[in-house]
Amino acid sequence: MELQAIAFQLIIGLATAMLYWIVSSGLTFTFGVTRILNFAHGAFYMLGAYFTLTFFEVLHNYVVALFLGALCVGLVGALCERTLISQIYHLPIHFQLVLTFGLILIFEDLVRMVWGSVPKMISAQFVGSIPLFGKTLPMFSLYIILAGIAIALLMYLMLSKTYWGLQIRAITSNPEMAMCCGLNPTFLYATAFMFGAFLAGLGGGLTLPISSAAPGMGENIIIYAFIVTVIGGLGSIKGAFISALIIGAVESLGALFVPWLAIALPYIALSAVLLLKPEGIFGEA
Amino acid sequence: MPPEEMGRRDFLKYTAALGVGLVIGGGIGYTLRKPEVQVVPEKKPVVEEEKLKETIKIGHIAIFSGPFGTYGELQKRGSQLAMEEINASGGILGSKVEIVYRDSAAKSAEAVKQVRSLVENEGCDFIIGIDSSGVVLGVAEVMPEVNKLLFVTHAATHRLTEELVYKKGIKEVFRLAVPVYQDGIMAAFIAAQLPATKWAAVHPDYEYGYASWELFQKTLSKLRPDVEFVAEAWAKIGTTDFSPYISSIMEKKPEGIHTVEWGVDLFTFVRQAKQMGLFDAVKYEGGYAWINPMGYSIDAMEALKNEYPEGCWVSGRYVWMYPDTALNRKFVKAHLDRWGHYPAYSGETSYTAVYLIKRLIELTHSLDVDTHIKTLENMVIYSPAGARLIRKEDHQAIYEVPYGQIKHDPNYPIPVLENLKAVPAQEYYRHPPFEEMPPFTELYKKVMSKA
Repeated sequence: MELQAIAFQLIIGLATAMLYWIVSSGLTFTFGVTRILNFAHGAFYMLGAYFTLTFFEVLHNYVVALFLGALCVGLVGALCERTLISQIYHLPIHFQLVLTFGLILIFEDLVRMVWGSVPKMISAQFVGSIPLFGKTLPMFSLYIILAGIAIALLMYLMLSKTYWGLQIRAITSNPEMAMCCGLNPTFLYATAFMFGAFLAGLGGGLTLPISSAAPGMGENIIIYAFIVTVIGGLGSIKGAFISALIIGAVESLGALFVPWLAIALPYIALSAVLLLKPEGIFGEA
Repeated sequence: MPPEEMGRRDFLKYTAALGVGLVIGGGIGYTLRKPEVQVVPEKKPVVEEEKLKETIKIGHIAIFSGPFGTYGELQKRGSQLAMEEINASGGILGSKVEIVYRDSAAKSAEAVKQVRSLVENEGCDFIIGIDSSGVVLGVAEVMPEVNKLLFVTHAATHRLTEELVYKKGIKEVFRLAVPVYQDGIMAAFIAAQLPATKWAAVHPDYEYGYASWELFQKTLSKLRPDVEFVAEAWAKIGTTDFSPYISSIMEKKPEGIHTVEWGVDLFTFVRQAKQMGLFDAVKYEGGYAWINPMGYSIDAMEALKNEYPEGCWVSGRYVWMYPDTALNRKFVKAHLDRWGHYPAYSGETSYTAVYLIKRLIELTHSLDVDTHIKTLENMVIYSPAGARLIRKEDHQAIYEVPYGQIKHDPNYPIPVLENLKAVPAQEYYRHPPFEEMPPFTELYKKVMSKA
């Protein structure tokens, strides 16, 4: 096989990786701050696609629709945190599983009631392609890659350059001490959860032009988000980014060389990491 | 021809026509198929006011949740329409029909649980539905235990009828939908007529994908020894980004694509394949060497509309424009009037399942499972999809469904099919152990001419 084919396949895989990164970024961030393993993250992802769809139908501007859609999901997330999630911070982890799993069912049925059960599509955005290594790289791959990098930058700036980010880092590393210093945990946990939901919504909205909005669309991607998060180390944003790159490359090269095994490769990678370093690549033991 | 309005009279005529059709079908089936059968089941005189049961209950299990939840809705439209028609015209021997819908969640264990609950708690007399190949294999195994008939309306694996019904002898299971013979064998008949010699596959990574691709390769290499199979991609269900699969396939320079992707995955795949130039790579003079057996699924047509390129070869387990019979036209019209959508293939199979149950009870005047099995074996039924012969050995309903090329027609809200190509069913429902087929063509013609 030519080197060019492999390089091209890696670029294509980079788009897949960025897709996984976008979805897992919010999941791992929320867990890092609030210690809530949010199974409803996939439901927020789905809501992002539907909100974006509706805003797009009204405004006919995809980028604006995307941000408004994600913002709405953020608000839904904040509402969930204030009314439900905040009740279980002190309870054992299985309460989180039951509660967030319940949210998935509720949101899926709500989506069915509002938008119907038939999947919906918007007109293709970012149509066209650019030549690369003698092949054609579709614009949508390029746009997913750029969006992934943009989100990584956004998170970096939010967490290291803003006062909110400073507070978040403080309450993450030592909640008791942070509270003693007068930080408001209610506000920080709510906004952290909101930001996580916003990222999930952004993920759903970003995939809308290349696929469709469907009830339960988050079910499959959330599994990959968990694989990425666990490999990277639960709560580690850097870990999620690196591990998404690994999974994207593994899956993409797998499709080229061992198509019959491609679907199993991410799970094999996960098993390997769990055996060698159970806390994940960047996780704390 | 845009659908006309349908009034109550048409509705009654239609219902009557279907009834007559089934009688004729059943009658012909018995007289022609099995000469040794002496007694043609006649309609017994209706016992004065004595009902078999106050309500005949049918359990309908399909996928109602998750990304493939549309498929349950598509099935429900068919079975509910049939139920409403039957109840409006007096029910089954005076008994009302009631359908209880349950969600399989596309999981075998869940569907098995639902079967037990429907029979034991709801008191259902029949089970219909089941969407996925993986699910149906599990469900079939428990049917003898609950001692009820299962009419499969969608799941397509040939292992159901070949292994579980024929070899293992699970007689309670019948399938009214075309199995993977349509997706693999019949698809190869179409592929053989196209100039492409290098074929590649993009399939969902589960039973259905593997079965279809295997039958396709086997049949096509017999029909066209000059073809080769150059690449295959196995995508997980729920793939959001198909580009790694598409680019790995394109690397092998295929001239034809065989894909059994369906539902949301199909929408994503078609959109991304278009942008990556996969369609252009398989273009030939008369269209695209692109064979997508379940491509003419109503959900795909409604979602993709004109984005699905003209000239691609697609089919279904029924397509609403075929056959051009009065019964089919009436069904399509009734479905459009009731739901505002063209019928999906699983809508037709579900509709037929409910009417078949009605016919079965009227013929036998009983709810006895063994009597029903004997009656159904080698029966011919006349349905919107045409005449169906229920093959005795494997309980598979044998009928033909054409392939056609996508055509964007401004007179219709969804793409239509042109250049329809049908192969007589007995030509391709012949995977071992059914290499030899009874001469069905003559019978088929007779049934159709009575329509």
